[in-house]
Amino acid sequence: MYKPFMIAKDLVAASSRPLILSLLAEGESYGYALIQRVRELSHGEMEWTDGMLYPVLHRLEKEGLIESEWRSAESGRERKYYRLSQDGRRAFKAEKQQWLRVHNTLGKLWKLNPVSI
Amino acid sequence: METQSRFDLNNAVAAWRQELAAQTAISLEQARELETHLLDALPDLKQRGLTEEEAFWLARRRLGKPEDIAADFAKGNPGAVWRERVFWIALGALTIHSGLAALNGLVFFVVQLIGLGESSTAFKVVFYFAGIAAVALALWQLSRSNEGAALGWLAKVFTTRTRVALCVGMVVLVSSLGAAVGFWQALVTSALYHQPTGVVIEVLISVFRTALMNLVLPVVLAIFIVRLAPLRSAKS
Repeated sequence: MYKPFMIAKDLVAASSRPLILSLLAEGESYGYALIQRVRELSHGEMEWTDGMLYPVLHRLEKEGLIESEWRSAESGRERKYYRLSQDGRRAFKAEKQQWLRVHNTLGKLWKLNPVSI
Repeated sequence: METQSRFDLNNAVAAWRQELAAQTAISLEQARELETHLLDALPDLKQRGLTEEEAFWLARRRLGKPEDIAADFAKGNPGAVWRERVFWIALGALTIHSGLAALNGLVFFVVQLIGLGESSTAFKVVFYFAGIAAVALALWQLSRSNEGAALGWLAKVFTTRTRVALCVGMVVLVSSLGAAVGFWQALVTSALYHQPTGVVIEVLISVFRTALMNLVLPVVLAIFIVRLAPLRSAKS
């Protein structure tokens, strides 16, 4: 069934990479906090199951774009914290440029003001 | 109050952990991380007025089905999928090896018991194929079953490359050793009894055929397992 109010799963999957890189560019974080941020930012419009995040994090770590570390939080529970690596910062900038280029291309058709890249 | 006291969070989390453990594409560390996520979600949901039980089920639902998470992990890590397949191949090869040996003994025993003697070839063939079909059916069921938890922990043992290499090495070693022993026996026997060359060649051919079968078996199983248990797609 087509649900026009929800962002399609494929698009969500494609955006998960720049989204995570951008969130981690703001500072180090852990899985649950990342999901909460996505939920806040998208007002729940992105059809994203929480579990989808971890395979993406795993892939980014394998590519060397993010680094992780288990550390105990104030609550005493151990959490896995993620942060961008040097390569990750470069990947974040590259992803941002690519997405803005797509955005500007569509924006021209929709008569929107282009965003400077 | 009644229902709340009956719900035990620790039990519920433990049951969910078991479900995750059955997914070989999810490593122990990843399962641990998913569990901290679930536990992190509970206080927030309870703050919104949900009972502990409701919070648990919602957090679980939000995380998604363990199979779907595993499929997502597997997409980024084909090596893990292959490690799991190799485990089934090794298990299958060992099962068939020992199954056929047992079948051989059983056929011999039954034939002796009934006293069919030399006229029993047809009976032997039927018995053999029935046995092979039973083993194949059992493996097929095993590869399809959702209750992978029973053997999931076993598959988990094979999550590192070294262990898989050891297991495969073992199967190949056993096969080659068996073939080598047969070869040596054939040589010694023919040397002792001064058999004509034709008989020696015949024996050698049969030994080579056995060795080849032993090596081909894991490959055939690999193809079967890949066909029967293809990579699950995340899209449903």
